[in-house]
Formats: sequence, structure tokens, C-alpha cells
Amino acid sequence: MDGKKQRILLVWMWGFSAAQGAAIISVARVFPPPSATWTAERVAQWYQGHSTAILVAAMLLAWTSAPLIQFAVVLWHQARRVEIGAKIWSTLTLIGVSLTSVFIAMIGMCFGTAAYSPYRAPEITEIMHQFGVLFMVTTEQFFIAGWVGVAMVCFTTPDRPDNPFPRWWGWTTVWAILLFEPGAVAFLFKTGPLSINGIFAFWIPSIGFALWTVGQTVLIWRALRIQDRIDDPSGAAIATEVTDGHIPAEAGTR
Amino acid sequence: MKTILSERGSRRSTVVWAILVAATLISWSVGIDHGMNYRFSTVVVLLVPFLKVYLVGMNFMELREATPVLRGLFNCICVVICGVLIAIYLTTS
Amino acid sequence: MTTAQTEVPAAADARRGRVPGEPGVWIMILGDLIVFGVLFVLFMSQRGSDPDLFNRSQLTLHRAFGGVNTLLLVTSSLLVVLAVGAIRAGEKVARALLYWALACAGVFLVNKGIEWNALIVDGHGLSSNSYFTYFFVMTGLHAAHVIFGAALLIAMVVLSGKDRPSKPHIGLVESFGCYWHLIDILWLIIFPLLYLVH
Repeated sequence: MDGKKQRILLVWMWGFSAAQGAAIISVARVFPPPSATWTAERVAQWYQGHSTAILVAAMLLAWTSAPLIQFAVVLWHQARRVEIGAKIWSTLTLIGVSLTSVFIAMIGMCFGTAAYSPYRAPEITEIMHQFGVLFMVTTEQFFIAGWVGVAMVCFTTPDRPDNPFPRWWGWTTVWAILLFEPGAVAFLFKTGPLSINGIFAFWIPSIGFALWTVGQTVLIWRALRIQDRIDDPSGAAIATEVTDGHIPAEAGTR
Repeated sequence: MKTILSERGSRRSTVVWAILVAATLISWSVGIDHGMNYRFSTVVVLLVPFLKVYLVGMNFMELREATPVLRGLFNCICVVICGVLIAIYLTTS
Repeated sequence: MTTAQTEVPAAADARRGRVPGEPGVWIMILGDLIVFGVLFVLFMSQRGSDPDLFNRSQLTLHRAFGGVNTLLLVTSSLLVVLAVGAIRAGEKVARALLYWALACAGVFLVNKGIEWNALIVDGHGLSSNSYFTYFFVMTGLHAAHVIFGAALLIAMVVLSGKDRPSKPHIGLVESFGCYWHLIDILWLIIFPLLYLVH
């Protein structure tokens, strides 16, 4: 039963994330963000050119802005299961990953506000646009805090089939943290690899974030199957799910 | 201090270090201004560091005794980076 | 192969080899190597679009800073190798070796700070031209890794304090040592790219 609740949260999270991705990539077209060297007039023209699309994207983002909360809860529950001693790292993960949702919601707000009255003074549109873009690229520390929690759980819990936080994943997460950190440096550059659409401040962190989230989901999904068996030794739940009612041979032998 | 420095492994590491230092001093002082063909000397300047990297990898990182897959991956990545850098240099200068 | 304790532990099957440190750390090491590799390639491509600008800007650098930094990191790598051997053998000298390695790292960072300051005072900043953007980005990202590596060296000092280090501890020590060597490797490439390629 616990496994089912967590699966629901994961599916919910990925469904909403897909909608979010579609909204910011193809509808609003702010992912990747346009160059930081655009003048205020150019930015204003861009918003005037597709304000309806951006407003629709903002609406979609408003509806789907918090999937990291669902993910955080699953991560937290999984980490608590295996963490030894006080559940400090698990709690860090919960809070860090959940709070990242706030920034994702802010992105929609900023771009939506910029597009809300696209014929106002260009500088004002520009500042809301810059808010959105900089929120998107520089505010990664909350998620990193969550990642630190995950990495610590990986390093301090023994590797077991029902533990979705193996040691090698801890190293991968530390690497992801190192790759994510340059994001904030986008404040200093208008062009080049560390600018808002540059390879180190934008592309690598975004791809790293996506790959990590997919990887962690896969690890948790696999662990949930094992956890189901541990929680349900007769195997009845898995039996009906997997073999259309035929009880498999190993059921009841745990 | 005597015990570890006299071990064969430590002596080998020290020899590697000496080679790295010598190579660094040479490339630092000579650079590429010594009348040779510019492009040739720059290719050398790009190649030598990767030989140093190979030495560090095989000896300091102990990849010489590592599983072939790991050693192969490391060497592959280094060869690719070195190759691409030299290729870009030769096609754009 | 001798069985002296400071030697690399013989693999169970010498042909198959062993993994230095923990397998997971190589994700980080090879991953970082690839990412920096991308940065190096970007630099060379950017250079290709305006070689004269890059050549001229390079002449304003003092090669000594780069050369000294290379010597410092190479020496620190040797010290780390010796320290790992000492930790395997349970010898107390490991601590002193690691402190010296940390000292090298410290001097490296101070040197870097002095060089940066000299360049900025001369009017060459982050956005002076694309050469200097890459200069500060490459050396800055590398310096951040040096700081991270130094934290790992401190962790090694703590691990070296154990009288009889267990296998997992030695695994961590080797892992952190290998990461430090990666930092050395990255600088071995950065130095000629920034200071010598013409």
C-alpha cells in the first residue's frame, strides 16, 4: 500500500513536470532563455510578439508548479526508511527539494507578469523578464541542499536491493552538485559559457538536473518493487499485479 | 620518513615527479619562441601536457594496475580531448 | 611484485586489475574530466575565430604565475601519493605529508589571487574580451575545484589519524587522492592552453 501511494506521487510528479517542460520550452520559449545582450526594446518586442503564448504557459506553470513537492515527499520517505540515527539528512532532502518548487513557481509568475501588459515601458518588461530568467538559472542552492541530503544518505547507509540510495549514486550526486554550482555565476556574464544561456550556467545544469531526477526515479521505482515484497511476504499483491492472479512459486517463502 | 621513501613505489613516484617538473620547466622557459615552425611547436605544446597527464594517471592514480575498462576509459577521454584540441588548432590557425 | 605495504595492493586476479579507491568516485573524476574537456574545446574553438586577439591577450600574462602553479600542484600530487602509501602502511608521517600538500594548495590559491589582482589592476577583467572571459572562467572553475579538493585533503588528514585504517577508510583515502590528481591533471592542460598556445 505504501508503495502504491509513492508510485502515485511519482507519476503525478512526472506528469506535471512534462507539462511544465512543454510550457517553458515550446509555449513560452524561454528555455533556453534568449541572449542576455538583448536591449529592453528587443525584449519588449519579443513579449509583444507572443504574449498570448507566454500567458498560456504561465497558466500551465501555475497549475503544475509544484511537482518537486511530490518528489520531495517520496525522497524523504525513502531516505527515512534507511537512514541510521536521527533523520537529519532525510529532512534536509525534504526541505531542500520542496522549496525548489517555490522558485519554479516564480518563473511562471515573472514571465507571465512580463507578458501581462506587453505594451508598457520596455524597461519594465525587461526587468520582469530578467527576474524570470535569473530565477531560472541562478537559484539552484535549494535543490543542492536537497542533493547534499541525498548524497549523505547514499554514503551512510549500506547498499541493499531495497535501498534506492546506493553508494555509487552518492558520488554521482556529488558530481551533479559540482556541475550545478556554476549557475549563480550567470550574474557576471552577458555572453559566453557562463551566461544565462551558456553551456556551463544553463545547459549542463539543466541536463544534469533532468538526468539525475530520471535516475533517482528509476532507482526508487526498482526499490519499491523490492519493498513491496518485504512488506507483503505472501507476495499476494505482486502476484495479482504481475501474473494475472497466478501466485508465483517464490511467494510465501520469504 | 625513511620507511616510505625507500619503498620502490615511492621511488617510482618521485621519478615521475622529477620528469613532470623537468617537462614543466622546459615548456615554461622555452614556450614556443625558438624559431621552429609555429604550428609544429604549438602541436608539441598541446601534446606534451597529455603525456604528462598519462604519467599522472598511470602512476599517481594507479591506473596502471587498474581494471582495463577504467584505464581504457581514462585514456580514451584524454586521447579524444587532445586530438580534438590539436585538430581545432590546426584547422583554425 | 613485492608485497611491501606501500605498494599498490595486489589485485586478487592481477590480470583483471583493481579499481583505485571506490568505483563511484570515478564517475566524478571521469565526469569532471569530460566537462572540463568540453570547456577546453570551447576555448580552442573560440580562439579559432580570433587567434590574433587571443595571441595578443596571452602576451599580457606572466608565464611565471602559471609555471609556478604547475610545479606546486605536481609537487602536491607527489606528496598525496606518498601520503596514501603511508596511510596504507599505518605510518604517522602521512599527516605531515598531507599538511605540506595543503600548503602547496594554499600557495597555489594565493598565487592565483595575486595574478588575478595584477590583471584586473591592469584593466583586464572578466568581460574585457573573450580571451579573458575564458581565462577567468577556466582558472576560476579550476580554483573552485582546488578548494573542494583541499576539503577532501583535510578529510584525508582525519582518516589518517586512525591507528588501523579499515578497508573502507583506505578506499576513501585513495578516492580523495585520485580526485586531487585529477585537479593536477586539469591544471597540466590549462597551463599550456592559456599561457603557451600561440
